[in-house]
Amino acid sequence: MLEIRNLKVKYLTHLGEIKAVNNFSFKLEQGDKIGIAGESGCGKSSLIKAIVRILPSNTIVDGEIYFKDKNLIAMEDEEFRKSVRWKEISIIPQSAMNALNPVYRVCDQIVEAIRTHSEITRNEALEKTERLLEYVGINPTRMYDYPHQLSGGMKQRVMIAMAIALNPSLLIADEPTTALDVIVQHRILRRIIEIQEELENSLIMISHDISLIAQTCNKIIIMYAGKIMECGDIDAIFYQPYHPYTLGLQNAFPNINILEQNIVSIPGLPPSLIDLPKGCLFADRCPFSQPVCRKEEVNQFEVEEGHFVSCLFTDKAEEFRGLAKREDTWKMRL
Amino acid sequence: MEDEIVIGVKNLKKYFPIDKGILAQLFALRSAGFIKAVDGVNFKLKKKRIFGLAGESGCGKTTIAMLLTKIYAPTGGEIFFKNKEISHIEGDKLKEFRQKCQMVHQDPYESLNPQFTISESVMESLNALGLESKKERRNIVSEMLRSVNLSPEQYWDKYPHEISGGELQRVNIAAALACGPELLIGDEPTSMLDVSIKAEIITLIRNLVEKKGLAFLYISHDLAILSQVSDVIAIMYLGKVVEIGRPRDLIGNPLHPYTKALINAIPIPDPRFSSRAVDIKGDITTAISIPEGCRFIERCPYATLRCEKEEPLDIEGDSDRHQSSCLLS
Repeated sequence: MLEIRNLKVKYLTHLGEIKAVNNFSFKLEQGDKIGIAGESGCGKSSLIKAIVRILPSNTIVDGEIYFKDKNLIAMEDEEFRKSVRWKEISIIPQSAMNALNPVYRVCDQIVEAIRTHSEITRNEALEKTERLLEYVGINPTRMYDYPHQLSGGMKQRVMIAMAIALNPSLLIADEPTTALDVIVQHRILRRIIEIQEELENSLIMISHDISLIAQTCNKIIIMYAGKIMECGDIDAIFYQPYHPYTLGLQNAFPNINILEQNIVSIPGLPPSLIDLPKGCLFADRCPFSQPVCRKEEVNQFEVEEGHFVSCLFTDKAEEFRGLAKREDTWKMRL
Repeated sequence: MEDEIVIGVKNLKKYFPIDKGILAQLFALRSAGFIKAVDGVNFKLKKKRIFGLAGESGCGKTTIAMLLTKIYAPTGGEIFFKNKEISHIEGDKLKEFRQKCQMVHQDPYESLNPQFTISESVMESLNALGLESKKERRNIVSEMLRSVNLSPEQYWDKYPHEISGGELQRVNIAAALACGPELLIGDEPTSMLDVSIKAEIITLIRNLVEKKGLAFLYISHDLAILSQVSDVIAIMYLGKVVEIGRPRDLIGNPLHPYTKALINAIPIPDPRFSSRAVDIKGDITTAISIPEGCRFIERCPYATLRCEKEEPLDIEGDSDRHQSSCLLS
């Protein structure tokens, strides 16, 4: 349904070109729930902004994004706005707290979104708004409220209602629950998944939290410095990981079910996106890196069906998994 | 002594008056009411221990930090610092106390002065408190930077914008340590950092607590982190501690329905683990209109008639014993 080929996103700044997304390729099928995980600055948000074309004007987007066999990058702005945005692909933005206009009532904002992208009357749109709010679990009488009268969780629900208003076939959620309390987060995620299952559309969920993706998605992409390090079925990535970065991330996540667990961090920092190193981008922080890792760009290898890894030493994964569990493995390079 | 108590609070309260408009203030005789941000809290922090304080936003966690650092004056109750009552100290005594009690803030990017170099930031508290001679101050700063694993030579003249978030947070910790505190309060000290760096800061805090014999109050909404770092965890709800205990007891066998819900709502980094049911209702009630009886009653799935009538006793918090304020536990 969605296919991205060699996507590159660069920002032109006075410091130089910031290469936010580098040679990103992946395929999304109907009904998939894909989670994209990575640390801040790894290009998660740039990637989805490129898909819905809301990047600022100082960006260069290169590559191909096919959505239902149409190349989104080559499309005219007007055509994209009319036929794709909101109708086919919609987005639940990162900070719902600030995504609503504070001087308009909630219903006006939803009605505006609906009427901009479809031909229905105001009254019909209002009725629809009522149904939508009910669907996401907000009492429809609250639709005449202003955003400041709603709690954080309710605002996020309004954003979800808005995003599904025109029943898009692809829903993108960009960190939909940051800044929300855990109990509210739990409810919102449940609702997103229920909605996705009922409407049978596809979902891309961006998060820095792999636990959250583990509990909601069926596929995961681990991103680092704008590239895919590892991607595949969620079960495979968690139980048969290949990439040292994935192994490192697993150590760093606290699991409340395991007490006195030793959480270990990955030493070092991600590379500067202005001046990317040659070869594997993770090599500087990787405890297993060899001189060959720094020679040339690492391609993706398919280790099993649908499971891709950008590492030269996929054959040594078994050994890495054992070593990565030990704390001193990660201390070596400090 | 291992079990020395550094700071303890007894029946600590902080009410904020609700301000109405100026006209209402002129004509109304009484204030409109109070927000009971902290409403009868007891706990004790021991040396070399990390005390975790958890709860949703608006439960009063940060107010407690503000009360302990004497930024706010308490409405009621007592604060003991090494067995001395300090809730109303002023002047020199307050200055002396502030040397002993320091804070690490949430946002490392905002909490350092962008015009100060790293060394100036760390030295600032020594300057403010008028400690030691200039040469000695420089030595202390180098020592502090080394204790948080930053090399003084490399970082001395750097400015905050030149270093990463994790390094900034380490500078903040170094600055807090500079005047030799016995109590350190971290208000969400790792929530702004990336996972791969979070673990590093947590390990650093743990080592420092052990090495320098500090008491650390770790305030966070993230129970998963707290369960790994703290020796004792207290769960707050609407200004009260509802459950307290060692992680093994509190996480392994939660007694209060609120604690259960908090634990069950945390995502687990394991796709084969199906998430548990979170059966509590609604959102956190505002601290203005606290219900009678148990304050959790509106959200509690197990509430009985007794919960409506009887207000649960405050948790004593005098030991590490596992205690819950739930009437039904």
